[in-house]
Amino acid sequence: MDGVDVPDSLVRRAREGDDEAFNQLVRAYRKRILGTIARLIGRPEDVEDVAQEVFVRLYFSLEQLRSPGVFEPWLYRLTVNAAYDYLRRQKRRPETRMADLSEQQMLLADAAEGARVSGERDRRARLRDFVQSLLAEVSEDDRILLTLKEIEGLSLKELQQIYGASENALKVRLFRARRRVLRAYRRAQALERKEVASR
Amino acid sequence: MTDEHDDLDRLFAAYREACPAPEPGPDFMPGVWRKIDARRRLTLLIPRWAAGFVAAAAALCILMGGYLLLPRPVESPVYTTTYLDTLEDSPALETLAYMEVVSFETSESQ
Repeated sequence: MDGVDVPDSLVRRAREGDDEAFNQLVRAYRKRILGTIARLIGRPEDVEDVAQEVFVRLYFSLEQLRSPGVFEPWLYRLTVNAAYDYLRRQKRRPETRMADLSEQQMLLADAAEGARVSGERDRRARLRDFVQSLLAEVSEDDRILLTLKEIEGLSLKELQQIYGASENALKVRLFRARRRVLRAYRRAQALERKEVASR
Repeated sequence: MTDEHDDLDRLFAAYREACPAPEPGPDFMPGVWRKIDARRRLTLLIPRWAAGFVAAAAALCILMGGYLLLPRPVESPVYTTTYLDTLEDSPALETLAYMEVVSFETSESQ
């Protein structure tokens, strides 16, 4: 994890109910949590909402935190759980169609589409879609685990703290998930080669 | 094989760059506090509802207990005769059976 420099005393004060200390904690971690959630859920429009939910859960669970030393894994566990819950809700909820969007949302969608026209953004959007399609080959649980390891760069030790699982169990899950993603990657590459050859 | 793994690693790294952390909006912090307050209110309401429910259940129990304890007139049939009088008036089944047996035996012997 890219360390966020937060003193233990701040966590302790927030745990004791100091709202200003809690505000400082949120300010210190919000950008990182927003980034992690963006990569976990892949829906920019809902990232802020899920991140707020993470900090609300943090507020109500801080008193259960045993020691300030495990604050970061604790926050990550809350992030992972909120992302799971969001993805589960999304599964139940039918895909939003353009007809269901309000006028303001339509304008935002148009603006977003317009912004994509530039080459670099277009390339990034295609890359995001491609990687998300590869990650969709594994279950939600494994996708989150793989994202935390491979994209967020969390170590096995940190993942152990977040998941409360043994290193070996995590290694096996990661290995299998990565193998499936790799297979999907090979398929995609083969398809691309075929398309190029047919042109 | 290793090349593929390297490709995948590069792809993940590129994905991370393509998904930078979004800047929190101006409503981020107020939004967090609004949600915290809403949940706090809810957590305060639940014990109140529970206390109200317990009080209502206790009141209902007391009312039902009082109703059961109220003295009520016993609705029993009015007897004008004693038990012995009734027995004397009604012909006992045993007596009838005995009489029939006796009469049967008598006719057989004749």
